[in-house]
Amino acid sequence: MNGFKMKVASVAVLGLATTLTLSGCGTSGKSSGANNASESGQENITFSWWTSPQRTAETKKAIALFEKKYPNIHVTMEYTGWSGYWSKLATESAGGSEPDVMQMDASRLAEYITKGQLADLSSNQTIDTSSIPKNILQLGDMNGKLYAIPAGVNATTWIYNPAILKQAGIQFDPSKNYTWDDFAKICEEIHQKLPNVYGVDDEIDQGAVLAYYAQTRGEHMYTPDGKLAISKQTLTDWFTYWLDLQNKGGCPPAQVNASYDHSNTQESPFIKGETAFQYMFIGEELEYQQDLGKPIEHALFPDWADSDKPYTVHPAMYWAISSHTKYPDAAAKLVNFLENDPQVSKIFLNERGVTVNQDNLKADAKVGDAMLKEQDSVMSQVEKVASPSYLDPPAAGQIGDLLTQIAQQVTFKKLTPSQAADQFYTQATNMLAQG
Amino acid sequence: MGLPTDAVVASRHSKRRASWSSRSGLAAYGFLTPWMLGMLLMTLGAMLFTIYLAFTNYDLLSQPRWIGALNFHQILQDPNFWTSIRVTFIYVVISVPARLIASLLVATLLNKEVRGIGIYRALIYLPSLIGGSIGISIGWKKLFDVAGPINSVLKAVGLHGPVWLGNPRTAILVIVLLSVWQFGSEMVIFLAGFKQIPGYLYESATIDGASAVRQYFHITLPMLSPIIFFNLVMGTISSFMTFTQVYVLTDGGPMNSTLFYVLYLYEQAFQYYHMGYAAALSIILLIMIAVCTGFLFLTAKFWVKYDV
Repeated sequence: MNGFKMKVASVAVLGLATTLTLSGCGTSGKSSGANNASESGQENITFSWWTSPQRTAETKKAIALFEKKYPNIHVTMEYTGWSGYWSKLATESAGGSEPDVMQMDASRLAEYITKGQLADLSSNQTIDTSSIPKNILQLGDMNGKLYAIPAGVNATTWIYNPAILKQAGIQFDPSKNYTWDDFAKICEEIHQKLPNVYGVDDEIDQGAVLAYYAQTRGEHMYTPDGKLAISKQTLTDWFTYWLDLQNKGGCPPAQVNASYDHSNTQESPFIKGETAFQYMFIGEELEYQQDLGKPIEHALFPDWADSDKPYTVHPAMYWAISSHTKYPDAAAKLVNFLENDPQVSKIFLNERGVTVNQDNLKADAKVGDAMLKEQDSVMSQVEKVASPSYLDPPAAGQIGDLLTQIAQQVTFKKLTPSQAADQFYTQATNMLAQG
Repeated sequence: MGLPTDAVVASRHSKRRASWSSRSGLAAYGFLTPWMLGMLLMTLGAMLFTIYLAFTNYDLLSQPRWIGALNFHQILQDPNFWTSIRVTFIYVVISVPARLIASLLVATLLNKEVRGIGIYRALIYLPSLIGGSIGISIGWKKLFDVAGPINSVLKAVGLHGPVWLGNPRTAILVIVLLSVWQFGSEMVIFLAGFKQIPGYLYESATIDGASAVRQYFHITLPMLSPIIFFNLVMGTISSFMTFTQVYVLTDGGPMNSTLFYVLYLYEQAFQYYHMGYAAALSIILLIMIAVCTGFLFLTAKFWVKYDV
């Protein structure tokens, strides 16, 4: 019996020991890492961004260059897809383990600033902003303080498939200032000539296009202090415009539109050659051109040259620094490097939006391909006619989903355009009030 | 006469067991520590925290703010909440019985002793091992695409297939089908249940001249009722918590026709960061599942037979 007892006891001790080791290893590992860092002067910062395969490869190259230039700074890289990125960042921020440097989006920036998560970069000496135009740098500004550095800028435009237009025998001149009605007629004509093709992807549920539409009528989606600014009449007209277009074959039927979730390029009707036009942010069209296997062209939205100046320059993404970072200097060095280093800029080109450092923009144009030149030229065309913009309120993301829901009910004819406008107006106002 | 003796033996037996276990209790707790810690920290701790969060406004970035029962008040007025309840109940009511019947039928077929039956059982069990995965969901999405294999087959026989995932009527059907296709684990439990039914019941029924169909309905099903009940309860609980397939296949669309309860909960929590609201939703889900399970247990009295 004694031997048995011994065995039992030793097994129990072993079990306890294992548990303690397992549960303790997280903390012990971390603290020893920190000790090493302070002894050798090594600074460890974490950098996180949302990514695509191409962006991952490019960013890793840039970080390798950075670590070579600053051997005492080690950068831990965290990257994930768009939707996972925000869950992760919010969870990390809640647990106090947020990254030191992060890629930030305009739709979330206001929220992170107001919750005190981002460092004020207004008087940061390390980050050089002298080559960034004032009106672009101002996109990272809130209440007179600079919280985020625009990494690139872009704008929404149509991309179109010139082969389809040619086949349908339609003359389309992207330099002309078409009206919304002109555009609808072109789309309907495409369907009349080619019954299996629709003019444009159904953009009824796309918040970015709706915001632009409002601006062509002298309205904004939101007020600068985050209230709903768009009128019920404009909403009704918007839903009516797309419903008419759908009824006349200018855009695909409701069910086709509903089965495409706008997240997978391969399934886009545009890639399948079923639509001639689709809305797109400058910088994202390269993937579409590759998947389509044919050249695509850009055209600005209807009424782009109007006196209302409907276009705005959109910040593609930003660099921001956590307000809780232990190494503010190393973090600022990284942001400065990503933003201004000429070698990094040649690696990124326009993948994070059209380059905002004007010196790098010129230098990149010499090495870039035809698509880069076209992106630069469309962007400069937009900048000439653009009016200033301000940040969306935190609830904008949720309101985008609300638009999708209500717009679908219009396409399926469960709601009339004016009922839809009423519902959208009431629910969006509620969401903005709740924050 | 036999009863007291049995009790004495039993109590003596359990006394011996108790003293043995106290000696080895240390070992038991030693081995249990990882699970106990996990249970206390990961499950119980999280559950208590969820209950607390349900009464707060919490967006992850700032501290939770106590708002009393406001979340519950808002949930009751939230049209998407009622939509998700309706969608989830429709799904539970259709998919749970469909899956039970499918698994029972296939188990009946696979209960025959023929050569190579083991391979068939394994093959048919396979979908339920991988069925809940992202990969299968993506595969099904391709399968039911407008121009996917299913519609190609329909076209070949002269039918015009619907836009499966884009039509509010058919989208939920695809998700039900995916669930029914994963009947494997229920089937295995049914197969084990068949083996438990004593052979003499069938022998005497055959002697009495009962047909095979009559035997199935009067011997097999009643004898199997505890197992049917088990599968019914487990299936109901897991159906309420359906998430992965819906997230991948339809993401709640079209027109919220597949806005499952847990998907809506996820949207509130991880897309809008309404953690307090989502915590309140999860408590309501817990109550709903408890009530439905309790109801099933009440009905069990009338149809589940635990003795021969």
